[in-house]
Amino acid sequence: MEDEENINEETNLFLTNIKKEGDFKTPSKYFDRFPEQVQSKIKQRDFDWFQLPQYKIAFASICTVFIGLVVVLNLNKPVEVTSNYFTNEEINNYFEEHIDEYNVIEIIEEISLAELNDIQIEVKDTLEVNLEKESELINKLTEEEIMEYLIDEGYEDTEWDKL
Amino acid sequence: MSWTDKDIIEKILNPDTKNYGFNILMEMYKEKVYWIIRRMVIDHDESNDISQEVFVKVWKNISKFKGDSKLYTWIFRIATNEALTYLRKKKRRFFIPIIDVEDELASSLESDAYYSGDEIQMRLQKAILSLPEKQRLVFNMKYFEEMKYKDMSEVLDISVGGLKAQYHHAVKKIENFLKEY
Repeated sequence: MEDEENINEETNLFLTNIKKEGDFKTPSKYFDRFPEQVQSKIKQRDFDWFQLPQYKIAFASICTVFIGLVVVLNLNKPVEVTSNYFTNEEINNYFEEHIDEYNVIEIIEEISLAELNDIQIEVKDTLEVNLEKESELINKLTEEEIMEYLIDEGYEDTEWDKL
Repeated sequence: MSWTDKDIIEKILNPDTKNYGFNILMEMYKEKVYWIIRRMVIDHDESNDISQEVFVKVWKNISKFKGDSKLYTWIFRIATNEALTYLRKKKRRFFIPIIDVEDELASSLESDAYYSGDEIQMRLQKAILSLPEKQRLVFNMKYFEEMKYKDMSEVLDISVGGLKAQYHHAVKKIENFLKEY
């Protein structure tokens, strides 16, 4: 083996004139600080464990599943349309044009209890005003005018006592 | 105290002495690893990054080391692979033909603040840079690091005969290069 090593030594006699060392340099105390730098790199890598390919894949999978769930849940959720986007006049106009497409039950189902109470109060107020107007009108009529009205309506003399 | 491979590996595999064992390993091989990389990559900062990466890999994979080869040939194998991978990535990244990369390395040698070789040393380095990558590696390991062919064979996975032939060709090319310039 030693002879074999020497065969190649003969081929590089011309290299003996060239200094082997001292050409490349390093910053001062470079090798003293080297182990510390490697240790800190190892600690940093341990901290960045989530950057390893297997963790990246796992993280990406979890994100995909989460986004998928959000999308599916949102697709199944009923869409709420608030009336804030339309004026009352626009809504009225729409219903006037499309009223034939709805039936009463559907409309009632859509009206809330609070809205129904508001409607009842409004109807009651209207009826009371009408009754007051009627009694005022009757008070202004003479007996003759009342008799004429009743005859016109077909009431007989004998039926007056029943009224 | 001289440490055997077995001592170092036992210390690293023991959780209580892991850091201590790894520091012994770094103290033993840090300079050899750095210089084998530096002579391939030329630039100090790049060599520093690659050398650190080598020891990070050693740390991570030491439990897989079976002891079939010497510890230092295993570490050198990682170091040479990292250096060659770096050079190949550099070629791919910049779409530079092989000859241009060597030219670039030669010009970076001239402007390197951490290179202070005399004229003939600079010429030798340029001659070495004109060699194909593997041949350059063989020459550096044999000539500068004075490694035995048997150990080089384990590191590079090339037969001893093949290594001798590679080294012989490398020396002839360098001789011719130096005669021309």
